[in-house]
Amino acid sequence: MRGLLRKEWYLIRRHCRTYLAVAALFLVTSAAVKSGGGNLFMTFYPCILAGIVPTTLLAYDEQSRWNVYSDTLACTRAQVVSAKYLTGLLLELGMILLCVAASLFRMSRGTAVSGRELLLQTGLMVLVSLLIPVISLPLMLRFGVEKGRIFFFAAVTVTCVGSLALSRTLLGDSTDQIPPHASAIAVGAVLAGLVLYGLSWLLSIRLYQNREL
Amino acid sequence: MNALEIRGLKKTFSGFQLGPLDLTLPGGCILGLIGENGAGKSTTIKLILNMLRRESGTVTILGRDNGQDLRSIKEEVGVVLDEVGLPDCLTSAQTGRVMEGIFRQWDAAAYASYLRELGVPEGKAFKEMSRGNRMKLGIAVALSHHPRLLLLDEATSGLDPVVRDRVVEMLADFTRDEDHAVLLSSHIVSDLERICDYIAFLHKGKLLLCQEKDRLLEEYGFVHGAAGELAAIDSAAVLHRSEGRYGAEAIVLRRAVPAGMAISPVTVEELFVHMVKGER
Repeated sequence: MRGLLRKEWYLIRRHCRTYLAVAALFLVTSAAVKSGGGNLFMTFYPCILAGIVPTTLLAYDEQSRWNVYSDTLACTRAQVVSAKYLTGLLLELGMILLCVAASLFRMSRGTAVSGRELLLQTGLMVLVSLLIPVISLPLMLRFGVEKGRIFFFAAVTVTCVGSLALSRTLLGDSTDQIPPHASAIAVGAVLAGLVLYGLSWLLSIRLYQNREL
Repeated sequence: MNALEIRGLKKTFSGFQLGPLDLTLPGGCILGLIGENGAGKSTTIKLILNMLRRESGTVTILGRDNGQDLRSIKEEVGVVLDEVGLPDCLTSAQTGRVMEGIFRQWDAAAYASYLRELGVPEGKAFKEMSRGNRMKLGIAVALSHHPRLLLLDEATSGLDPVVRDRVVEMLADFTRDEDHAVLLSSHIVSDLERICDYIAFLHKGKLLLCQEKDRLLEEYGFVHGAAGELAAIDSAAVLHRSEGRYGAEAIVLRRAVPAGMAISPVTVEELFVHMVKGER
């Protein structure tokens, strides 16, 4: 397992630099902009990019035929799948912490971001950004990246539209319209994201174990 | 103990059926699996490793069923596929660090030594390596966790003659230990003829024969002569016969050749080609 995670790290270092650079740009911009809910997209976007990384890694695996080769090594298919999910989770966690840090920085500059808004944003960030791997990974692991890509784009669309709808529903156009149960919604969103991620992880293991390589 | 036992192994794809296949690889031996492209060699290796679901049959690796705790079985199996599927960006050193975290028995010193011996370039990313160097890296990985069984699918193809010779020597050294064995699939029959103890012919998914190489070469011979002369040989003993403008030739069981008729030795490659022609 350690070896599989190390391999993912080498791949991220080599192939995902652009993602990380774009994420950094959005983080800096979102920290610098002086507005409330208006720059929600900027705050969310780095997390969405982090959510794409596991599927990108999977595409590189198929391209190099690592998916076949790894099946000859002393690791189980469950471990191969778990390496993807763990990498995704760690990246998301890191990105969410950075996004929170960026938002805190905004708050420290006296912008219109409130503590409740930040809490709600963080909860929604976790849910929305985890939805991409939750939907796309099982499909790509079962059908391969080529076919799974169609589902992947569907997942991105659902996530983007969903995040917009959620933000409009829960936040409205300004921070004054933050729902009264923001804390409960945030915790619920985090829990829902993690539960869905766990279910997707289990489903992926099951689907990948039945796949012929 | 047999390193590998395959009994009644069967797998069907659309337009292709492998098996039923029976193969035995005793410890201390090298089995050469010969077949043209698409004969089912890679499918056989994938079925051995449970990468494909078999329809029927059993596969026993080092005394254990391949359906049970395959991970621990694979600790003792080194594999080189026809395409070594390492990530493009990995160097040989990074590959070593990845494998160190995968194989419990990984031997970094042995890996470094194999890399040196085979001349695998240091610091070059996998995608920048030639096919030969990729294969050499795959062989080094397969040998560096002290496996007892090696499964090599076209592992010598793409290597230059000097390195191929060295790899063949390494495999011969590997099987000096009676606890070790090698299954080597290839269509470069000359390599297999040199080092294999057993030869199996696979054609269109069917096993044409599996026999000890020396016995095979002792049993069969080449006869040349006029078509009428060759007609005197019992047809059941004729593996394949061809007639041309200047006479006829046949590969036959030596014991069936009438006394006085000259028999020349046959190579594994000639045997395989004629058997396949006979099947067609």
